Amino acid sequence: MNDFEQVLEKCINELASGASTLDECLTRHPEHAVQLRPFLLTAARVVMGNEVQPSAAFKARARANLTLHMQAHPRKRAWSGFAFWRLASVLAVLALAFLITGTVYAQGVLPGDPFYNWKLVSERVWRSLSPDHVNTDLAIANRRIGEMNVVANDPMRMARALEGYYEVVARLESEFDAETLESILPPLDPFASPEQVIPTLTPTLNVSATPHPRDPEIIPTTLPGNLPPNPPKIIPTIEVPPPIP
Amino acid sequence: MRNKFCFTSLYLLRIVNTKIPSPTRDPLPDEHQLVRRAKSGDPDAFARIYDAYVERVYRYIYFRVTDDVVTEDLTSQVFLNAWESLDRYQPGDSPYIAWLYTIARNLVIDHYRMKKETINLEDAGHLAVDAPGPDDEVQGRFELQVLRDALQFLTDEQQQVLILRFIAGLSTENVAEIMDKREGAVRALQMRALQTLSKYMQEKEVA
Repeated sequence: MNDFEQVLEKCINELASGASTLDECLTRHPEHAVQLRPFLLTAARVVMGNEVQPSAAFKARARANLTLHMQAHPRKRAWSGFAFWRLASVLAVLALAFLITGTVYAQGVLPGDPFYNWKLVSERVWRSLSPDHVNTDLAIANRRIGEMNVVANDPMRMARALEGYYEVVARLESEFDAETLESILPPLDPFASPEQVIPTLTPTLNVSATPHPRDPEIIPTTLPGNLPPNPPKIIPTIEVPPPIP
Repeated sequence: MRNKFCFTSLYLLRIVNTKIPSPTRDPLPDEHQLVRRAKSGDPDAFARIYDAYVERVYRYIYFRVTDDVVTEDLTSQVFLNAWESLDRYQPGDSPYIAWLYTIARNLVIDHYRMKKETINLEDAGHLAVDAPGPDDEVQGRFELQVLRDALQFLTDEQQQVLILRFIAGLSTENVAEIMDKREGAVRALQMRALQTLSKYMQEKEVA
């Protein structure tokens, strides 16, 4: 802005805000008075537009219309920010509490119970978060075996547990060769009587999917074909030193 | 014609020496609180906003249209729309009146789109010739009518700048916000509008 434009802007601001009159502005800036005068005179005439007033009758009528409109179209009470976050945090805490309680409860349910799917989902989450997938799968397989032992008298529930068991076995097959897997898993006899207890696996076996070459070779012992009524829970392992080159 | 000249001279004398009370000098002190209450559904709070701003909105519309009935209709409509659109108003640096002016501006634009309302020079001249005798009130009304008619010869944007700056008393910054322009563009528009209006009024007075 050049000098004249700055003076004009200043005078206009003063005129628009009512801080000074046109004459006062011109007196303060005599060097621009001739140029300023037509602009400020016009601006002052426009400022006089402030004198326009609506009639009292109109104001009352419009207010009554507005009141009727507000009554006919009430506003829904908007949530304040604080109330919204307070409700959101209470709901989040409740949801978390429900999730934890439900998960804890689900760990004890059997196939066919309402929370059984919740149990399977929680096991999937457990497996995905666990750094040792093999041992987790073995633990899950043991759970299925435990379930099979409990629901052996109910074919439907037994089938569900068995299905879960085979899912775990399928995962383990991708981790081990057939021989190792056969040595870990108990043979399941489809014609076995319900009273026959299926032995649990040993998740703490020193078995890893890819043994380190320097580690001693681990050969798990095979399970006996005909299991005794109460088989040993821990299968002993034999450590064989690496072959001498 | 002689009457008209007499009015104008007296009027000029008056405006040269009068400090005009600005409408922005007395803003609603608890505006933010009232808007918050209105947003939560309090009609009394919005009625107080109406009481505070109805005259300013009326004035803005008065100088944007040529018909008093239309002015009243649009003024009422501004507040009905404002009630409906309260949620969209975000209290920030700009006052609530700036939001009302934006609604008023859009309504005026819609009004002209629908009515294709125009005014010509002959109509304005007719108003001036038919003006009644010189007493203060009539003189004031006559001058306001002259101003109203004169403003119709400006472009839409020039009208808006002059009305918002001088009649509404808004800052250049607020006017720029309402018109969605930069402050420099608003100052340039203001300069051109004053030039055009000054020229037009001089021509009318000489005539």
